[in-house]
Parts: sequence; C-alpha cells; structure tokens
Amino acid sequence: MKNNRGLTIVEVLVAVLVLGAATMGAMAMLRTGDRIKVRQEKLSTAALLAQNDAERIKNLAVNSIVVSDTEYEQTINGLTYSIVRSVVEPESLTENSSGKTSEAQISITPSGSEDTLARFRLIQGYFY
Amino acid sequence: MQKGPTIFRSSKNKITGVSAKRGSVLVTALFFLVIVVIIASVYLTRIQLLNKPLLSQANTLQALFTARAGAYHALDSLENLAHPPPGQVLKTINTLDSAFGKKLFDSAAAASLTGANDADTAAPFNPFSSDSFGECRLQENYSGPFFMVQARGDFRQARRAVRARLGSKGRAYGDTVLFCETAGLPQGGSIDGMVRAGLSGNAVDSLKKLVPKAADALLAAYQKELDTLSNDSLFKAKPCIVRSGAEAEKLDSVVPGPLLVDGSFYEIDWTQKRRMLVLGDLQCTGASLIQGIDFIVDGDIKILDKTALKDVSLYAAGGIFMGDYAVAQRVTMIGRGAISVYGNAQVNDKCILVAIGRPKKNKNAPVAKPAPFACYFAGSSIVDATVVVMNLTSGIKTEKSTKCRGVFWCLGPVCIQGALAGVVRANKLVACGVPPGTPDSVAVFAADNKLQGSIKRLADVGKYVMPYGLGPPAVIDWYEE
Repeated sequence: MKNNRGLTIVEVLVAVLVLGAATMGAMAMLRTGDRIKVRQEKLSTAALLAQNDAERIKNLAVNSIVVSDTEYEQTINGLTYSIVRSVVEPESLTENSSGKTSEAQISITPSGSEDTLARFRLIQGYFY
Repeated sequence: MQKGPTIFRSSKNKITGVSAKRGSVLVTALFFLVIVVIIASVYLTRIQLLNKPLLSQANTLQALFTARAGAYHALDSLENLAHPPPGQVLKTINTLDSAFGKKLFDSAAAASLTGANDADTAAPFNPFSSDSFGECRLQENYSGPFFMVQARGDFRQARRAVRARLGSKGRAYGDTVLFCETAGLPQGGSIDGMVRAGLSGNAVDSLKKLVPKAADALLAAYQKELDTLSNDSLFKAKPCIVRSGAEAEKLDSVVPGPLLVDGSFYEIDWTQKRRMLVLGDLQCTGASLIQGIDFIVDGDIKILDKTALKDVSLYAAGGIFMGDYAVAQRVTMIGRGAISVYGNAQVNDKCILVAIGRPKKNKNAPVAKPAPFACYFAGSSIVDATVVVMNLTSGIKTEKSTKCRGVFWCLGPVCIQGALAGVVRANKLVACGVPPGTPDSVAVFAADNKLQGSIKRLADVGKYVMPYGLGPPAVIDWYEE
C-alpha cells in the first residue's frame, strides 16, 4: 500500500517532458494558424486590389483607352502593396482577331517583399 | 506532508483518488496534453475554415477574369467575322460577295467558334497566352432577336460565369430622325430633326445581304424545334382552353394544338418563368395577365380584350395581332408573318417587334408575294418599341391616330400617317393607300417620298436596342454570376 503512494522523480520528469512537448506543439500550431491567417488576409487584399485595377481597366475601355503598363502603390490596413500591371502580347488571339482585345497581367507584391503575393490574368475587350 | 498536485488535494489536505497513487502525474499530464492538442486543433481548424472564403476570393476573381476573357474572345471572333480587319478584307473578303457575313449566322461555324449549346459539353479552351489561369467553356444560342454568349471560367476550385446579350450597333443617331435611300427631302408632313437621304453604296448592299441571313438564322433557331414536333403525327390535338392561372401553370411545356387563355369570365394571373411550345394558334382574351413566359407558337398569336403581357417573349410562325385594350410591357415579339397592333392596344416600355414577313404556309399553298407592310399599327394604338422588318421589300405602316416612339427599321417603304418620336431607317417614305381608280396590283402607294404624319426627335432613342445580325455585334447586356 505504501509503495503505491506519492510521486517518483521519473514520473515528474516524464510529465514535464510530455507537457513541454505538447505546449511546444500547440504553440507551433498556433503560429502556423496565425501565418495562414495573415497570408490569407493578404491574398484577400490582393484580390481586392486586382479587382479595383480590373475595374479601372474596364472604365478606361469604355472610352476606348487601351490598357498600358503601369505600376502604383496602395496602402491597406497599414501595409503597402505594389500593383504592377503589364500588357501581355497576345499569342492565341492573333489569328481571327479583330484587334479589339488586350491581355494584361496584374501582379500584387507587398512592399519590401521580393515575392509576388498573387498574379491575375485578364482580357479586356473594346466593343462599346 | 502529503505529495501530489495541489488541485487534487482535499480541504483536509489529504490526497485522495487516483492522484494519490504512483503514475498519477503522468495520467494528469496526458490529460492536459489531450486538452492542449484539442484546443490547438480547434484553433487551427477554425482559422482555416474562417479564412477559406478569403483564399477562394482570389481564385474566384481569377475564374471571373477567365470567364470574361472567354466572352471577349467570342465577341472578338464574332466582330471579326462581321467586320474583318482591313488587311483581311483586301485579301479574302469582298463585302459585295454573297457569302459576306455568312459565318456570322452559320451555326456550324459559330459552334466551332464559341463552343456548343450546352456549357457542360463544350470543349474547354485557354483564352490567355499562358495556361496557368484556368480554362473557359463557351455556350451560344439565340435569345429572342438577340444572340447570347455564355462563358464559364474555371480556376482551381472556383467557377464563375459571364453572359453577354448581343444586338447590333447603330444606336447613335445624333439629331437625325430619318435615314432613307431615296434622294431628296420627303414632301409634306412635319419633320423635327435632320434627314439623311440618298443612302447607297456598300453599306446598303451589305445590309441587303445580311438581313435575309439574319432572318434565316432567327427562323432556324425557333422553327427547327416546332417543325420536329409538328411533323410528328402524335402531336395533333383539339384546342386547349385554360380559364385560370392555376390551370395554366399545370400545362405541359408542349401544347399539342391551339391554346386559348380565356379570361372572359374571371381574371387570370399566369405568372411563371417557363417556355411553352404551342403547336397551333395562341389566343389570349378577357382580362388575362401573363408574365415571364416565352411562347413559341406554330401558328398565329392573337392578344385581345384586356390581356396584359409583361416580360413575355413571343415567336409566331404566322402573324401576331394585338387589339382591343391589350397591353404589352417589356415584350419581345418575333413574327414570321406580320405584326399588327390596332384598336386601343398599347406596346409600352421599349418592346422589340421583329417581323420577318414570310409566314409559314402549307406546302400546297401558292407562294405569296411579301406584303408591302409587315408591321401595321392602326386605330388609336400606342407603340413604344424598336420595330424591325427583316426582309428586303416589306415596310412599316402607321395610321392617323396611332402614336409611336422608338426606332422603325426596314429595307422597304415606311408610311407614317400618325405621329412618331424617334428614328426611321427605310428604303423610302410613302403615302399610303391606293389612289382612286388605280388597280391594287398596279399601285400600292399613293406617292413616293411623301410623309403624311410627323416625325420628331426622341431624347432617349439610343436606348432602343437593335436585334443581332443587322450590323457589327454590340453588347446589350452583360451579366456576371
């Protein structure tokens, strides 16, 4: 009966190890969660910025202003993004094309980062 | 002094239960481990679930761009078929050639160009010069007198669709109220606006080649289905009469004979979003409200009494007649024969009336010469519409008490005895009626280049849309979903 009572040093050490590992694992998961959250929020912002730029292109098209290369910055929630729009030379549309479309790529990059967050490709028509 | 975790001590400072035994710390630690893992997993899952829409937002946007690109690709090709670049015109296309514009209405060519009639069976293609931005499927079909291009964009798990309704260009008229092929200003009447007389040359020649093809394409879109059903001997039946909306709603989509919507006894409210094929005449009488239905009728359509049509599309293999106090709002009418509006009938809210002037005849019936007027507005009727006649010789006639707004477009003569606010495009203006003593077969018109009524400018004439095929394609509506 006496042998069954109390704690051994081994028990305590194992328990500390297990809890430590669990805590570290949990912290890693929480950090991963936070990273995912931040990245997805940035991606969402990138989509919003790309959509704004696409609307800008569409509005220009109404006045037959052809899309051109451009680069500008925009700050959202304290973070600055670089929006780069580049005209893509059409390859697939050269045959049987009336020449009334332009293909463009919109790239969104957070300022200070080398990695492009998102790229979008679109075609704008001029049939107004 | 007892040992063990404080939380397991009793108020009497004695260790009790499992914690009082060896190995209890490990069990406790494992218990906490499980709790921590569960909490962390729940947090991670929650983050992923909450942010999934944010992640799909980017994919959805690219899918929309892909769908738009597909629609523009189709428009680009259709525009090119209608009006090729100058270099190509010189090399391959002569606008005076009878084949000019053929591809614009050639369903086989259009199918290979824009996909198929069903987006699921259409072959996917990449509209961009890079293949990393999803793929697109195109679907094309007629929607009334318009051409509908539907593009579906797929990017990763996201899917978006764009629908473009196409009509024809020619909606900027300036202050011109009359375009006609005969030279000189018309005599008589009252014209408030500018006149462009003496139209000729390639533009007119091209139109004369385009219009019959546009009419054929429009007829083929509707008539094929009707002919298949009406040639089947099983589909012959006595007239079907409906006297309530509830009864009408239960009708099958194919009515195997004439259909009478009879609101003579009690008012009928038939509001449905559906397509009805009627293998006989369609007649609506009494106080019937019909809303949202597309009728394809293998005979005549008669809209009488106090019938009200709203957001309805009508196709008749014969003629379309509106009389009495019938009212049409936002209605599209395509008559293979003639379209007549008379009595106190009203056509409101920029409707679209297209008469082809070639009614379906029995095989044994003699081939009749097209009537001089395929659209006829009489009595005290009011017409607010784009009125188009799709043949080379027929025209439009209005009587003295009629009031019209909108666009009259035809290659034949136009006789305006009443008032028109809007624009006329015609071969010539004529005075109607046969002079006394003149045989009908000799003289149809009393005088050429003569206006009996009045034409004046209309501020919003640019909002009256033209059917597809009468010029370069133009986007009438653009839907994204």
